Amino acid sequence: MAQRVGFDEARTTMKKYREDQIRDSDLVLSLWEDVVSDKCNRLGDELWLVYEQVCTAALDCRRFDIAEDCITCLDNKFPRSIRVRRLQGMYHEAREEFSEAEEEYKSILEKDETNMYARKRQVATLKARNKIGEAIQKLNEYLKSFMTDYEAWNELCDLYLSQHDYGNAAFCLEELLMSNPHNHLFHQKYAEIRYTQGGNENMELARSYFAQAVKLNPNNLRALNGLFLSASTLAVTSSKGGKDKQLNLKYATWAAEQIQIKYQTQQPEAQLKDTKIRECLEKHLDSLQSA
Amino acid sequence: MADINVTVRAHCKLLLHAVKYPHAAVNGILLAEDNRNKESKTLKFVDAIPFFHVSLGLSPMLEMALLQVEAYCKGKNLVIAGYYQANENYSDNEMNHVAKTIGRKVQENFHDACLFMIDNRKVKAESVSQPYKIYTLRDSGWRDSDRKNISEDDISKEESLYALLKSGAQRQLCDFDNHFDDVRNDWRNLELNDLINRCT
Repeated sequence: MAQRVGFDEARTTMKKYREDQIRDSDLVLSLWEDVVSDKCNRLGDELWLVYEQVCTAALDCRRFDIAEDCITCLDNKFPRSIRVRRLQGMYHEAREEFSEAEEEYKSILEKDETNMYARKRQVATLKARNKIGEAIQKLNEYLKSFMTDYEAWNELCDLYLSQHDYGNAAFCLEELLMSNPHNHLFHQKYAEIRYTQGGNENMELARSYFAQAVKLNPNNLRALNGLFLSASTLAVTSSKGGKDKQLNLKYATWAAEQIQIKYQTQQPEAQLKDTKIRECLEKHLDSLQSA
Repeated sequence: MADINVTVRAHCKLLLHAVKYPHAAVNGILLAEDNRNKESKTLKFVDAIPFFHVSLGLSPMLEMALLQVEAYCKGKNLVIAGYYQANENYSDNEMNHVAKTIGRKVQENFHDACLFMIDNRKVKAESVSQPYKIYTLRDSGWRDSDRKNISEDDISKEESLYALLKSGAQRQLCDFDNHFDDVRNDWRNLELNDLINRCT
């Protein structure tokens, strides 16, 4: 796959993936095996970061041979390093040797009880064994000490969603919203959870938060979709001829217009025609008028 | 009760979706030829539309996607007749709450709808039998489909999937999550359809 890529391009790509935390393990391994590994002495100090990156990619793809080599090289360079031992723990996890993994993380925490990575790996181990209830408990304990860890709040939200505990999932998003009030994605996800919960009060909350997401980022198509759907639902459930109904119809119509503009300006003609987004939105709006 | 026929295109696309996001749960729907007014006894799944790989349990985007696909089906003699899902956990191929809820929603619109649960352990570039299990709604529960599976083109499916996986075709696949990120991403996956046609 990566044979035609030059060394510098491969190096830049891998760096970008590290910085943006992109998970494309197949490609990373391919770049390593076909391009970078032969010339790894050209990497300088970046080599150690690359070994770590390739190791986790190899674990993702069940290439335990490559993972072992990386861990060995890192261990030789950084003996007794906690960071390397975490990789060793992940190696055990990937091989489903969960007791060995747990041992590794426990001993890391004995040495350094503030090590957030080991604690998060413990949650991951529980998740891998489908012990979601325990994973939720452990993650809640973790967040008591590390309450600014956004990644953890997001993960906890997803764990609650998998158990369809929308109330607690919403709570996690509320924590995220308090610390990141300008992040349109958090507003949008919160709105989606409230929408899914259903009921008038939640639908109104959903509509407000979708609207706020659109305000923060008018390009957020999901927020526009959400605004359209939540306003539509509220229009249907409001009493006929009431002020609420008119207002919600107005919001839904506005959202539909914004969605259409987006599609018309960005999508190629043929795709637009075949997928009939306009008809879809218009039909939905018509059904609201007569409801 | 109709027999089930899953075409190479539908078979490959739903598996490619699972392959593209091996670390995530994925879902999507299957389109069948609309034979509700015909004598035909076969339910032929002709296409798969990949939906999401993030937050499968949230409803607004699902509703939007279903609205769009429904509009697309009109005039093409197609109907939303199936739902597929692959779970996040490698060894978990149980039908969860999300699968049952969405499956039921599809079934409300199409009586003979089927639910496809992908077995992650069987998604690979080798010949595997039954990479997914098919369920139908009977006696108010989802049960193993008792309908005959017409599988004359099993070999064709395995060969096509092998060729597609080897060439990394899953990277070309666009689902609705990709589409909502950028509307130019085409969830019809026409180029991929052509690629699959060329494999058979």
